[in-house]
Amino acid sequence: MNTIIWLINFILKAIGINFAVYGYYGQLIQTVLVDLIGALLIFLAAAITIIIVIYIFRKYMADLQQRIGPNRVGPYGIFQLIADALKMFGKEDIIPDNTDPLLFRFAPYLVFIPLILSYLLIPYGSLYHWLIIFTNVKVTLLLVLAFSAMVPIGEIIAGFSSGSKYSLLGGIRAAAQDLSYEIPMVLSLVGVIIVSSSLNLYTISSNTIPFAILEPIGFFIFFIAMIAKIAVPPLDLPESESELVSGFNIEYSGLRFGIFYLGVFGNIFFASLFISTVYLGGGSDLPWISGLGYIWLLIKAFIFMFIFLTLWIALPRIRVDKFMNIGWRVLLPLSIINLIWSVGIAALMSGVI
Amino acid sequence: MEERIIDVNFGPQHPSTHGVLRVKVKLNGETIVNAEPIIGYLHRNAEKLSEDKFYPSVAIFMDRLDYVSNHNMELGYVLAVEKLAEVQVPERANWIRMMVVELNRIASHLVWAGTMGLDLGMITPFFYTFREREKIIQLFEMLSGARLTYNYISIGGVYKDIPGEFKDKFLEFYNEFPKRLDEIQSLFMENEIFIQRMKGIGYLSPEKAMSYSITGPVLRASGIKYDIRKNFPYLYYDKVDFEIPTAKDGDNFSRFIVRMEEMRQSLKIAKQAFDKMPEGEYFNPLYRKQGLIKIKGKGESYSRTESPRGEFGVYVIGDGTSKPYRVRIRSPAFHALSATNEMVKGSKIADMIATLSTLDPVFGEVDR
Repeated sequence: MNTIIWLINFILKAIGINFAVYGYYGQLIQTVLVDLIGALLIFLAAAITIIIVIYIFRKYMADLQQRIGPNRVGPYGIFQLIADALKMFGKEDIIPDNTDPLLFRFAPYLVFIPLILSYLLIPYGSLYHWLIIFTNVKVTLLLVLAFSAMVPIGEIIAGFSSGSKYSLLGGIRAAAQDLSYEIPMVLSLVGVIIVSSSLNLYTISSNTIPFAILEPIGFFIFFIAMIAKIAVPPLDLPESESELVSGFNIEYSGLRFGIFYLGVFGNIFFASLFISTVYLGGGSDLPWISGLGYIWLLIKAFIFMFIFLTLWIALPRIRVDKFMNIGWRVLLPLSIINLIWSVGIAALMSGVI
Repeated sequence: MEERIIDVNFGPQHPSTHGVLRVKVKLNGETIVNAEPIIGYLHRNAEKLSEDKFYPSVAIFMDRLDYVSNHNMELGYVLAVEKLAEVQVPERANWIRMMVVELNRIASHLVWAGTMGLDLGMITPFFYTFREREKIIQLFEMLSGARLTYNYISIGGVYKDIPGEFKDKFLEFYNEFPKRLDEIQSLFMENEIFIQRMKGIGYLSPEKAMSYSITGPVLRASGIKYDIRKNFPYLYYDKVDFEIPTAKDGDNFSRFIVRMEEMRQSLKIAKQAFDKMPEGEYFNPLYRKQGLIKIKGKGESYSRTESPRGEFGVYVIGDGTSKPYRVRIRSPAFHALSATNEMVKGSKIADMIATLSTLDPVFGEVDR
């Protein structure tokens, strides 16, 4: 199953690193080593993906806005982000006086680390005859939800510990937004879990009929919840640049701000991966071609990413109370309807009716 | 639950205060309990400085008042001085003035539309409006050589005649702009979120608008058809054909509609002025010979013009010397701002930002 892990193990053995021959503890060390290398690889892959996403976003946004976009550093400006990152490193890391220093320092990592960890949980499908899956425990879906639930907590902590009224309001908004989208999101996923009778993302994604067709209502709710989760316009209420200046991250500068910035784009791509994995078959192969699942997943994810980015560029911000209304009065009832619908589908598929 | 009121300062440095407005807001959660606009951060003492300058030199202070519609500011002052010193203006100059003033109104409203989009979180329309504004600015650059502080409308006429290549560029702009404006308007109007953010927000009743002596698009959006260009025509506004757009709801959306329609009317006026412009002098030959510096005025005069923000009044007292004794400026956006609290009390923070942006204050002019 874990082809990548097997591959890393194989390469390590080939170059002569094999602790497994030294008994039980040696085997343990070998497993940890292989897992660490795997995690590092996925971290690198995620970081590179985020950088690509940011570059695509800037070029795409510039195109829609009749600008040129980055075009100075490197061919077509592809190294602009490296220059930006270097600038971020060089900035002074300011921690204002009336902050809670510990929480203030801690909050960006609480936003970023769960994000990177959740990249580990996605089944990336097959490429040639390898299956790119890192974690294949039975409850990957639950783990993704748990990790994604940590992100708003980081935002709230950032907002409250900054000691600024704007960031306080941003933190409150982050909490309000979190409450409004998370319950419908989880309920719509419960529908998926009922039908597929599994909490494993790989099993869910390799369902014969994609869940977007089986549960259109759930797909719709989940899509809106994903826009809220990635917190970009029209639902960037925690940030709301024009009202709260920069919301919860107003006091951050330098590298810590950079982490928040990377987090936004990492979130966008993760949301695209997540929604295509759960609802559109993710990395599962098409029935007539095998070995290209990874490519399908990427295509689906990029389509969703462009939808998110277009929404970001085109739409104004929804008012915070209106979004809470949508969350509680539209999405929540709809998700309960979706739940009943899913039970019906599950009964139909298992032959009860 | 216990109600906690927090004080928040919006501005003077804030992304959406259109300059340096500071609004002291008392918040109960997200709801505004009280909003007090505080002005004066861009006070440059234009009125007092004017007293120490010759009549033609004062025009540069006017240029810097409302830096989004400079021609309109110049016109107000120049008309007042011409009335005071009884300066004759050639017919061609007046038509040119009308044309540039109306083009400038379009440019000003375009800036407003773009920044209003930014205030609502829409980044894209900003670039579209500024692309169109750039064309107008290039027209002005052809006329005056400057992109922002033109100092073009002068006592006794205008500084330069229209150059030869202006005609083609102007006609190109005239033909293309309505299409672009429709495009920009549809970016806003075909958006459900935008309509939800604007409709019924920031209501200003006609009575309240009048009691705060608000003029311009804000008043017209409350349903009162009052425009200096129609009610007290100056230049040749009585000789051109145009409408005064009004709306009756008095909310942010009405103000949006009124300004959008005003741009179309302004384009119509500019085209008519361009067509009706006779050949001849563009500057009073008498002053070309003797110089503007010899202008002396005695007595007092008041000019009222319709700037993009409303009634722009300039009151000039002369004591018989070549410097004004007193220059007093009536700022339209100042009056509009004074109704802020009335309009935003009880609404949400986001609505306050939207409402402020539809008032379209420019602080060069408010603070003077």
